[in-house]
Amino acid sequence: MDIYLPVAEMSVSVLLLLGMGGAIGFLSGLFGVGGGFLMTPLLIFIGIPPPVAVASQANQIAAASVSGLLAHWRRGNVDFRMGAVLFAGGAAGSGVGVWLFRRLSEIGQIDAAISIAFVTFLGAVGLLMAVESANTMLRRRRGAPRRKLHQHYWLHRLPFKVRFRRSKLYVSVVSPVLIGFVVGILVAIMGVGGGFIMVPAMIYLLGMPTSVVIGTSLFQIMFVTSIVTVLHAVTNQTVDIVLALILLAGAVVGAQFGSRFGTTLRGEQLRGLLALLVLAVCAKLALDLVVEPDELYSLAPVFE
Amino acid sequence: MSRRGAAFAAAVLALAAPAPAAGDYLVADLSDHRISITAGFTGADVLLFGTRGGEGDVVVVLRGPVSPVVVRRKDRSFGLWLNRAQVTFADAPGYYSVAASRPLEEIASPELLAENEIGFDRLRLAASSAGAGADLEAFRAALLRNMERARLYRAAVREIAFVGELLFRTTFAFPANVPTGVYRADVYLIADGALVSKRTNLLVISKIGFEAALFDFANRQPLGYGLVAVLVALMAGWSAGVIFRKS
Repeated sequence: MDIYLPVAEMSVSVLLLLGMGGAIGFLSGLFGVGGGFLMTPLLIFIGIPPPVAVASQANQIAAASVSGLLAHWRRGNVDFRMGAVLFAGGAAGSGVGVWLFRRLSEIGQIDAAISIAFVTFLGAVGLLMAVESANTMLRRRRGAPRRKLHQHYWLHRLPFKVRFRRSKLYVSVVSPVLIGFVVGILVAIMGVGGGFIMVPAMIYLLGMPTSVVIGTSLFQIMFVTSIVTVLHAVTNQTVDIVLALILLAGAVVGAQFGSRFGTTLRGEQLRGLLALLVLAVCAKLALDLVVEPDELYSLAPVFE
Repeated sequence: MSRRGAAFAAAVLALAAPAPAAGDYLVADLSDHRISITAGFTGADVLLFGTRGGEGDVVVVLRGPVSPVVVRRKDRSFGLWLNRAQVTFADAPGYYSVAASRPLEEIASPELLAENEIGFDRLRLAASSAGAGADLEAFRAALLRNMERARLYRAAVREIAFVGELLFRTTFAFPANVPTGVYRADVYLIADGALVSKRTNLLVISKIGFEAALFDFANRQPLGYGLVAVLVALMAGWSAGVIFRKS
């Protein structure tokens, strides 16, 4: 059964979209990650125009983050002050990101820019995760103790210090604003939630306690993806709400199965699997950039 | 097909009535004058039928609305295949297909065909902006090739079938990605290499219902649309969470 997507202006199989949403939702339930970094490339692989894929994905992630955010909020795992500071940076970053997106579209480089951004971040994150999970597996075998690190470095000496009670931190707002800013740009250009950058940054750069990291990042993700959705709608008219809702429906159901299945696997095994998946998508995108395409020419409508 | 069949049958009855069959007599019509794009749209076929007064070949050119199109060429730079040179064609039709009762070259002179843009390779595509040294012919060929791959242009000439001596019919197919707008079907009657008669029929392809409303909303009030999209998404995400928390 096909459905005509009104903004993408193309007809796609509903079952394919539900299946993709379900598969990504399953993975996100399994691994506890957003999955946007896999969904945008998948949408591009099935022929959705990259600008529509990115903008609609931002919309979908806003929806997908709500229930998780509420669950963490009920358990008191959201540092709202930190979330607000991250969001301030994120709002500015998404403005810059959407502007950049428009400029790159006009000069015909947006598809390549999206691919390059994904290859860079998926490659880096995939490698880090692979190394980390391999190390953990080795250490478990050897039975060596895990190192625990919380160090103070130059980041903590920046000005404009603010007390974040929930995170038990007294740090400068400069670094969280910058982190939010960079993530905002990534959300606007890649149609991802940015959790895969923000969560490590919050733990290792800011030194936030792990218990509040997920809830706080969901807070930032929900607001930044909402802003990015509105900005893309205004600037590029590329938000396809029908596409976003179908993906969401699939993802919601898939996530339920994923999180149940996830309890049967060990953490480092999960991360190792996810790393392989991330590297596979990265490799496919990189090949498309490097190998000479069959058709060198492409068509695009003219921007007014 | 049955609706279209009925339309054709009605037309046959109407046209079969004795008519002043002068040599330049030519009438034609489409089975639909409006194609509606709805949620389930996967493409459509349109039947063109008509009758001619006497001997002569029939040629039909169906053209979609024109719009500017950029053609970009990828080249290797820094080891990556990136878009480099580009050429803009100011008014490329969004759809182009030709049907004829015989091979075009047997019907009319190259001049007549060129003048009326009859035939895929005779489409006049003016480059409105081009980088220095761009091979215009290659870009033009790339435009035609890519549009054909999207099934919006058709290089092969469709067949026009005759029912008896005077009645003719042919079918045009539109893919799901067909652009919206006003389409023009020019029907030519050509005898002994000379244009005897020409008729034009219009066809409107438009989105209707929910799809149209959403598309218009997104384009006319982008801010409102963006805000509604976010609200709808947040509500959907929230209700999904509630449903699964209870079960």
